[in-house]
Amino acid sequence: MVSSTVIGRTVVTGLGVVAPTGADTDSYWRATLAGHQGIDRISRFDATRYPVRFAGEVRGADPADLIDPRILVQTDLWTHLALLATGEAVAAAALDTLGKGSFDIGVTTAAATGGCAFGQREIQALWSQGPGYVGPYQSIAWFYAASTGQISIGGGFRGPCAVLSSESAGGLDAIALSRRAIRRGNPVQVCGGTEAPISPYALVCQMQSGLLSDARDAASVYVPFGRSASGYVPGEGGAVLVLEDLAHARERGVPALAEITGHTAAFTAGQPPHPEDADGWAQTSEALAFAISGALADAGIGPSEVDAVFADGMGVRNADGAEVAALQAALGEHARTVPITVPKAGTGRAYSGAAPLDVAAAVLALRDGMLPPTPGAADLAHDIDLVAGTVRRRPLQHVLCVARGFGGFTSALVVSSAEDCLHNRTL
Amino acid sequence: MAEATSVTLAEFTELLSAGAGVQITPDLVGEGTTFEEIGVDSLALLGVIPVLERTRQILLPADAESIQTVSDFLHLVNDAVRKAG
Repeated sequence: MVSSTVIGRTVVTGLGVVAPTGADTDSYWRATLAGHQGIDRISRFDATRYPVRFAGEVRGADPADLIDPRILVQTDLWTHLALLATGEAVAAAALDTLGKGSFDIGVTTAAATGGCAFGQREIQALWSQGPGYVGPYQSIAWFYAASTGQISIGGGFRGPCAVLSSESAGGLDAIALSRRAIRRGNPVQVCGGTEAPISPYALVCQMQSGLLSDARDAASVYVPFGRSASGYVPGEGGAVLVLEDLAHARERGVPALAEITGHTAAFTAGQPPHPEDADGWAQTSEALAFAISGALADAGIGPSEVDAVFADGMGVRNADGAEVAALQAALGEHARTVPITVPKAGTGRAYSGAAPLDVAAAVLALRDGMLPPTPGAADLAHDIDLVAGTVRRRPLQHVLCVARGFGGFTSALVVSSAEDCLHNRTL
Repeated sequence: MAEATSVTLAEFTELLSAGAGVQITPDLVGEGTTFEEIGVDSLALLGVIPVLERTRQILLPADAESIQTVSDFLHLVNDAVRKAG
């Protein structure tokens, strides 16, 4: 029987990152602390005829060097990136010691874009050549469950598996669902999300929201909370985390990096507002404030105990205003002084991968007592304390991660220091 | 019109390699070698079937991808080629 004090505690025991600024956790974290800018002109295809010219592309790793060639031909880049991040996370958490085929390890990823580039290639073959030219892997490569499936098959993880589609909020929701699975008795979950949304078809789908930046100048293309905010740019990559029941991690002797302590998701009413619709955006802050307050209550902390916020930071003036309003509603006066950061201003928004990347950064921030800056932050339009320029060093106990997905999804997650978990580890 | 030629093991393993993403050479294939043994699943085989049907102007049975051994599959293909010729 495990001690009652540790039942239900979910900790992070492994991290895997693949991002435009670094294709593994250490490279990403070093680049993030230095405020590196990973957004650049789109190189995956000729984007000169598209209004959106910039994106965050993962250029530091070639999946062909690292993934079984049989799996490579069956899957899209978004799954390649998921497998790369999973490999790192699983190794970091030493999951191999649990044995292949374990029912104790489940997989939960979020997916928003799916295998768009793979699907486009096959549909081009269909229309230009005919049905006999469409490859059989179209049936498994494009759809949302591909990454969860390949992670589960490749790793031999036979615990509860799931896929969540709540656009850019999905990453937090996947982590929360994993925490729920752990509380229900499945001790380990491989979770998170990655995306590869930089292809013509994928980009055209995203552009319909009107939220993407068509700025022509790299320096002003994605400026969260800035007066010159003109929208966001898409990004590739994401992160995979190994979540584990604390007692289980202790028994294995695997250290906890951080603890997932609170989560709430909520949905806004009505149609997604147009970027210029100030009233429409203002109305969305109610759901987001509810999610934030719910996450704090779940974590058992008060507003003033939030030491930092990893904001959604859409880089759309009215959307940024709605996020600030939600923080003010949920945190009160503390919203004006709590340090807020948006590291994704250096990677682009990787949709389902964006929030797991934020959570990975939050875990590392808690570990190191360092808050990374918001790359390119300039000329604030809101009354907030945005971390800009250089790293802020300070001890951190609780960090709030906020995410919103197109269509009304809002989600908030509290990540807390593992200090007391570490303290007890050797008992 | 050129006479339809039979499919050689070399040509077939080349098609399988491209479809399955794994390098398969003729020397890996003996009389009873199964697709599973050389790392080719039924989906990979399914991808090769339309190529053979197209280049040889043949039609293979709907469940051709469920054949277990490489030699049985090649026999089926080349029987169809002969009948078509």
